[in-house]
Amino acid sequence: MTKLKFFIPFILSAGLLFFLQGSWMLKGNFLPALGSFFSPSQGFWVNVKSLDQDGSSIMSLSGVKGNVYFDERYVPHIFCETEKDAYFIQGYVHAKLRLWQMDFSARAAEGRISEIIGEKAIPFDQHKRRIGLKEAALMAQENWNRDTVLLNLLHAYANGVNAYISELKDKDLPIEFKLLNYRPEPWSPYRSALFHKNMAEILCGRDKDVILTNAAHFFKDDFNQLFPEINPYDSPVIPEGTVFEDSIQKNIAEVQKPNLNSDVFETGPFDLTPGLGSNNWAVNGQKSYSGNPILCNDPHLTLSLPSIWFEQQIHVPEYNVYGVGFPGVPGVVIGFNSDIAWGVTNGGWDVLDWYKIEWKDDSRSSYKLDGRWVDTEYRIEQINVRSGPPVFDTIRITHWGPIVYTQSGEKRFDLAMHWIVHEPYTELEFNTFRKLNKAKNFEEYKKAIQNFPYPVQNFAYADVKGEIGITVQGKMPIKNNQFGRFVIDGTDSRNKWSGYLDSTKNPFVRNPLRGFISSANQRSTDLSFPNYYNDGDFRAMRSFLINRMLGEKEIWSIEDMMDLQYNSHCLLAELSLPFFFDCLSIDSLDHKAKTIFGQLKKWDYSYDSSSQAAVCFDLWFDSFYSLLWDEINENKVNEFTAMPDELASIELLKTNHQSKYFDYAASPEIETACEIVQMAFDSMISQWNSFDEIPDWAGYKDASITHLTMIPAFSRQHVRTSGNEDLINAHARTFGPSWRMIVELKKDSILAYGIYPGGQNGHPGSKYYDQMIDTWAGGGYYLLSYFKAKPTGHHEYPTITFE
Amino acid sequence: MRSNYVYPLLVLICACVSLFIPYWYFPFIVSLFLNIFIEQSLFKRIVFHGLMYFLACIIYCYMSYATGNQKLMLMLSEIFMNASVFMLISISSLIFALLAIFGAWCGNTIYEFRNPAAKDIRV
Repeated sequence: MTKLKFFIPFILSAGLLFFLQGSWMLKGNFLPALGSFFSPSQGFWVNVKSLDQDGSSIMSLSGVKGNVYFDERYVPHIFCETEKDAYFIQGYVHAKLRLWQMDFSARAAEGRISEIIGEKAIPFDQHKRRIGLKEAALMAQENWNRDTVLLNLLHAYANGVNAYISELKDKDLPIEFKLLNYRPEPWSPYRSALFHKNMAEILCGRDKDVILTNAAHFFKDDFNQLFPEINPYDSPVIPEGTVFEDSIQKNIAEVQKPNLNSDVFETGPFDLTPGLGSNNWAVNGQKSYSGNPILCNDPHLTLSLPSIWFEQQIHVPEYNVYGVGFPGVPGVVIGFNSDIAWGVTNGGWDVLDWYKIEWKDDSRSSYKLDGRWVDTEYRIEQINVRSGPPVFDTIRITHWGPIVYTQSGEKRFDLAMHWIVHEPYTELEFNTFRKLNKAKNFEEYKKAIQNFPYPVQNFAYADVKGEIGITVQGKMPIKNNQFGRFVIDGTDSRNKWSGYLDSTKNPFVRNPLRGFISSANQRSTDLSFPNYYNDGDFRAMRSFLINRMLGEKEIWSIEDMMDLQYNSHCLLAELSLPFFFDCLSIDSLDHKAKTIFGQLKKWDYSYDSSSQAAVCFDLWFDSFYSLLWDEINENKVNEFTAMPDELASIELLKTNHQSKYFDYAASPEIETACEIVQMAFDSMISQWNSFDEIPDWAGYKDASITHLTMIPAFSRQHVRTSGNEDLINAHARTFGPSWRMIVELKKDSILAYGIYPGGQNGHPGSKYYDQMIDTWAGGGYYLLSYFKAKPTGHHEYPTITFE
Repeated sequence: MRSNYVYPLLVLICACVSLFIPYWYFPFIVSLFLNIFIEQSLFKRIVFHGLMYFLACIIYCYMSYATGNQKLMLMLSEIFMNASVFMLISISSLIFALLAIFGAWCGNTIYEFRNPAAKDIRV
């Protein structure tokens, strides 16, 4: 009994320590380890106490010399004597301000989120592993190993990150690490490569092959009319009429159109995030008040906190570059130096094709290729799961690529993914931005980008000498007409891409007569371009508006450019409302409906934050669109079938009021276009009446910018701003202009403005965490502090000195 | 008379030191060692450790909150089901004090094991 009494306090203490040390689950979520998290010396109190308390400091790190000055918005201005030191310091600064984001993003690309948040993330990890981002990153790393200069720079960056990690004690970890109870892993060039591959997935990992194949089944003879490859509002990146050099068109086996009797896919890549894209444009000196070229860029991405972008200046004897890049990747991706400015938008070419694989039997161990059965290869992935046993995923690899989606039921076919990211390549993509950072003229710009492999980007250019230009750069697979637009027959090995277009033949334009260049994810060229390429994710409306406005207005100032980037004019409304109005029978409307009708009549088609008419139109058009394409919604594979886009719908409204698609299937009568418009209007009125409080556009849109963990407390809810999908100001609920930049290239100096919805410091709660959001939402900008030399004078910037 | 003050003073010093040693279990360790070598009744050990550690922590946390980043505190409050800042301070102090109490209890047990007569003397 005495012995037992002796042990009781120790047993209970052990129990207490075990409880406090563990990370327990509550309602499906892991709690942080309570002992360390609530500890005043190790837990969140350290973050509360130390956040934003950094002053100037001196670092002694072997052999690295340089200075970093943090300006009013905490943008680091890095001054070094060598590029290697600059990259080291950039790595250090990225880690200091964005370490958790970098570590989390690299793990996400690698498919290792289950290790942190448990079994909820298994499907996410499984997908990332099936599409092979890790293998692609390893391949990139092998490429980089061939270039010792490049590799040294990448290692310098990684060493900078690791120098910060090594000085980081548990108590100093960013709050997310403490909440999720894990530590950052050392950085390496491989992890930078993961970041690049993740961007490739975002920008060229989407396509419409499967949903278009299903749509071809559904619409049969009407398909070509409803899904045109080029539409009347297409205004290509390279101006129409540009003469292209002939290109080599290799022979590819005749591609089979979809087999309308058998190929309906019930699973596949259907989650096309709408509205991702970007705008860039530049005007030459003749179209600007100052006589200097002006270049603008606003990439549209999913908006998150911490922001995907990080602003910085790198000053070395060879060059002086300012702009944004990704935390985790050295250099500047979008920006300017003392001679040139550049900006990027997504090119949207289809570089991802799906092949239908016919299995021999249910075991899926062999598949048909060229009339024989070929053994399937396997890759087994072990997904480690926090507080659970590991999960093993057997990935089947075919001649064409991995099987990513498995068809349900008894079907003996699946979809194999053939993606440019999996293809062996020799280009050093990292060198593109490094060379751009130091380019001094058009030739150097062209040379810098000519080996950029993917994702295909529209690189806009302007320089202090007055030149402007744009190049659609990336590897363009050589395809026959219609190849890759639908799911491809995977039983014939001749159905492959026949190499790539010589990169010097990629479409570009230099100093066009019209005095401006632009891109907004539209088609790259008109149909005279000698190589066939199809729509990975082309958008027409923004480019139409941009080109119309740039063409109509003679002279532009920086303020005009700011207005244009924030322009919320809706082409869809401009095109459809006159037809809608013509269809409505006004006499039959009650007083309230007449009031709304009157509001819409007076509306300037602008999705301003305070506009109620924008809400009316949005509801009206959505309702019209659903009623028009109700046939697809009735169809059992509706979510896997492409719907004709809004422009095709309006075209149908303009040209064929009696089209069978206007008939509303649920009613016994046969409806016409005008009856559908009237029904949609009534539906809009009834939705309008159901609002407790009539919202304006910003209230109705209810935008948010969420933290990467989706923790609401770290996110920004109810962001009030103008704009919508497919407008120049393409801000919808969760995505939009992730960086707005305007650069005027004077002969002796650069005048630049920029902003992004977030802040430089990725630590939640920091005064630099989200301080730019409100200014961004209102269409405001910051003057960018582009220092020609180390800042001196009355400003006392916090500084880190490496010596 | 002197000994009446020495023990609580030592406990207070240990509590203050624990606030700055970046190991969350340090209150347990330091309390355990302190109580191995000092004679005191179990009741007083527990009361002094509970009170001193709780008070030291509550003051420290409040000061951290008052002088630190209040925006982050509010975010954390929201994460913990909108618990008030005072509640977060209290939970931290309670865990801090509990660790000290259990450390003191274990220290007392070792003390009694090493000095079997001590318990009889105190009684």
